[in-house]
Amino acid sequence: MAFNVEVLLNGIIFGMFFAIISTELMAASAIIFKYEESRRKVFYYLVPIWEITGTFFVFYVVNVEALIPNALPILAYSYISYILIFIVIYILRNLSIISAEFIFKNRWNISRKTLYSTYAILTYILGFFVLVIYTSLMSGRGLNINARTFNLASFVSYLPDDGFIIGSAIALFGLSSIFYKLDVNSILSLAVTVIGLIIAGASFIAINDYSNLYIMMLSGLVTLSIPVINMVPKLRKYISDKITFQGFLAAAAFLLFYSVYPNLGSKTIDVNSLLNDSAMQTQIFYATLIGGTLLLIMSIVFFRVWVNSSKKRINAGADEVE
Amino acid sequence: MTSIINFDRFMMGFTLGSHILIVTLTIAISVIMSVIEFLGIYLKDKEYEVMARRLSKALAIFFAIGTASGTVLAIELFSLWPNFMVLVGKIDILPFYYEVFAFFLESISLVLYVYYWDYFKNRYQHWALSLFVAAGTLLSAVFITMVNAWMNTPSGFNIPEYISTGTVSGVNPLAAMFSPSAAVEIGHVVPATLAAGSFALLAYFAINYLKAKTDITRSIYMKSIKVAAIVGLIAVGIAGLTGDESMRMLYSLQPLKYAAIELNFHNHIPAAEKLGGIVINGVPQYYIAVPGLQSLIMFLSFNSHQAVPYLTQFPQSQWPPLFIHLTFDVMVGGGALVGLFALLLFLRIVLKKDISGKFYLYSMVISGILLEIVYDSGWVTDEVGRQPYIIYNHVMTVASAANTSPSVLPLGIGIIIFYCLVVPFTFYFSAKVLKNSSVEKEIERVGDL
Repeated sequence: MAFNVEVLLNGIIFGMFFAIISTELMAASAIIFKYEESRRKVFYYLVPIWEITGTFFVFYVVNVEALIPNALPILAYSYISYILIFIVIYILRNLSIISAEFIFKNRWNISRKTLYSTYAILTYILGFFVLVIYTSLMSGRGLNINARTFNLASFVSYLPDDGFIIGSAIALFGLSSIFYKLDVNSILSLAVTVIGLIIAGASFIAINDYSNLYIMMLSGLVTLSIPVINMVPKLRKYISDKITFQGFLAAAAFLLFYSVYPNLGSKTIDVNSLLNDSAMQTQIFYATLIGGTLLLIMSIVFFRVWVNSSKKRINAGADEVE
Repeated sequence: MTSIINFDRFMMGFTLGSHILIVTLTIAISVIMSVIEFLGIYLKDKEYEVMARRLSKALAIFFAIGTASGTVLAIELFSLWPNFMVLVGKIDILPFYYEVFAFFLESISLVLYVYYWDYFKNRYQHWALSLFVAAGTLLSAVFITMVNAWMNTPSGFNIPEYISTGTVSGVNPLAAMFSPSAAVEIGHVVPATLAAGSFALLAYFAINYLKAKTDITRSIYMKSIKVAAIVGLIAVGIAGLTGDESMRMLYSLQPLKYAAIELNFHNHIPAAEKLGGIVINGVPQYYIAVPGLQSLIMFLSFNSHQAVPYLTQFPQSQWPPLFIHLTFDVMVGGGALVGLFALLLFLRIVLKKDISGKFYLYSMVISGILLEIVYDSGWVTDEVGRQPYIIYNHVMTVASAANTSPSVLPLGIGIIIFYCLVVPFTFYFSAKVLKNSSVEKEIERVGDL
C-alpha cells in the first residue's frame, strides 16, 4: 500500500470530523428517546460544541478540494440534488438549535423541546446524507462516473450499501448511552453496538472496496472496545470521559478510512491517480501543521474550560442547562 | 444551457449578496463588542458590560447562520462552478485552507466567550477571547479576499502554457496566494466590510435610542452609538484611502475594468471625470463631466500628458457590462457622504457636544442603510467589472466554469426562496434576543467589575 502524507492528514481530519459529528448524532438519539434526561446530560455538552462541528465539516471539504481537485466535477454533477437538499437541511438545523438556545417564550406551539427535537431529526437526516455519499463512493453503486450521475434507487437496492448505513446508525445508537452517561443498562449498550458493528462490518466486506482487511477489523475492535470497557465498573469513568471517547471514535474512523485507501468505487478508482500537484501538497502539508497546532492549542483551552466548568456545575448541583 | 448558466450566476450572486449582509454584521459586532467589553472593564461601567453581553448573543446567532450560509457558499462554489474550483484547487486553494483555521479560531473562541462568560474570574482574560473572535472574523475576510484578488490578477502558474494547452503547470501556491492585487484589495475590502457592519449596527443603536423609554436604556445606547461611530469612522476612512490605491492598481493591472468603471470610451488627455451617466446606443449620456479631474486624481498633476485606459483599446466582446460605472459612482459618492457624516459625529463626540438630536439619530439610520448599499455596489463593481471572465483574461465565466445540470434549477429556486426567509429571520431574531430582558434587570445580574 502506497504511503502518502497528505492522504494520511486527510484521514486524520476525517477521523476528527467523524468523531465530532458522531457526538451530535448520538445527542440526536438521546434527545428523541430521552429528552428529559438529555436536559441534564446532553445539552451542557451539545450547546457549546455544535457550532464547531460545522467548522470541521468545512475543514474536511476544503481539505478534499485541496487534495483531489479533479474529483470535484464528478462529485458536483453526480450529487448536485443531494448537495442542494443537504444545504437547506443544514441551515434549518442551525436555525432550529440556535432558536432553541435563545428562545425566550413559547409561541405558536413552538417550545424549546420542539426545536431541539427538530434539530435532532434534521441531524439524523444530515448524517444519512453524509453516509449515503460516503458509502456510494466506496461501493460505486448508483454512481456513473462517465455520465457524472448518481441513481439513488440503484444505490438503495444494493443490500450491503443499506447494511453499512443501518449498521453504523445502530452502532452509534448503542454508543450514545455511554457517551452521554444515560440511564441504560451497559449490557444493552454492548449488545446494540455489537449488532450494529456486525451488520456494518459484513456489509463493508461485501462492498469490497477495502485494501487491507486487518486494518478494517482493527477499526471494528477499537469501536467495540468502548462498550466492553464500559462493562468494567473500574474503567467506566475513563471511557465515558468525552475526550477519551472521541479519541477512540476518531481512531476507529481513521482506521476505517485507511483500510479503504487508495480505492474507491469498489476498487475501480485509484485515488493516487487523482492527487493534486506536489507543490500544492507541500504547502497544504505546512498549512495543516500550522493550522493544526493552532487548532490543538484552542481545543486544549476549550476542553480545559469545559471540564472545569462541568466540575463546578456538578459541585453546584445544577441539574440542567437550558 | 445558457439559461442554466445564467441561473448559476444569479444564484451565486444572490447567495453571496445575502451572505455579505450577515458577514458585515458579524465582523462589526465582533470588533465593537470587544471595544465595548474593554471599556466596561477598564471604566468599571456595567452599562458597557450589559451591551457586550447582548452583542455576544447576537454574534452567536449571526455566527450560526453565517456558518451555515458560508458552508452553502463553499458547497455552491464546487457544485455550480466545478471546473473553476478544479483550477482553484490546483493553484489557489491555500487561502481557502488558511481561512478554515481562521474560522476555527473564531468558532472556538466564540463558544468560550459566549457560553463561559462567568467562568473567567479575571475579566481581562475573558476580554482577550473577544480579540481572538475578532481576529478570526477579520482573518477570514483577509483570506477570502486573497482568492478574489487572484481571480482579478491571476498568478502562480504557467499562464502562457495554460492559455495554449489548457494544462496547469509550474504551480507556485504562495505566488498565487499573494497575487499582485492581494495587498491592495485586502486593504480596501476588509475596512470597507467593517465600516458597512459598524454603520448598520450604529443604525440599530440609533433606532433603539429613539425608542428607549428610560434614562438608563438611553445611556447604554448612547455609549454604544459613540463606540460604533468611532470604529465606523476609522474603518470608512481607511477604506476611502485604500480605495484610491485600488483605482491605481486597476489602472496598472486591470485597465479594461478601469476604463469601464470610468466610462472612458476614447482617449482624452487630460481625462475628464464623468459623474453619473448611462450608455444609450453605445454613447454615454446624462452625465456631468469635470474636465481634467480624472487625470488629476490619477497622476496628481494638472499638466499630465499621460493617457488613461479607454474602452476602444480592447475588443468589445471583452467589455464588462457598463452599468458598473453607476455602481462605482454610488460606492464612491455614498461612501464619501457617510465618511463626512462620520467625521462630523466624531468631532462632536470629541468636543463633547450632543449627538442625540433627531437629525443625528435619523442620519445614523440612513447612513447604516446607505453604507450597506455602498458596500454591495462596490462588490458588484468588482465582480461584474471582471466579466466576461471568472479568472481575469484567462477563464471565461460562461464557456468553461458553470454546472449545466438541469437539476440545479428547481432546487436552486428553492434555496433562493429559503434565503429570502432565513436572512430576515436572522435579523429579527437577533434584534429580539438583544432586547430579551430589561436593561435594569441585566445590570442587576452583572456582578462587580
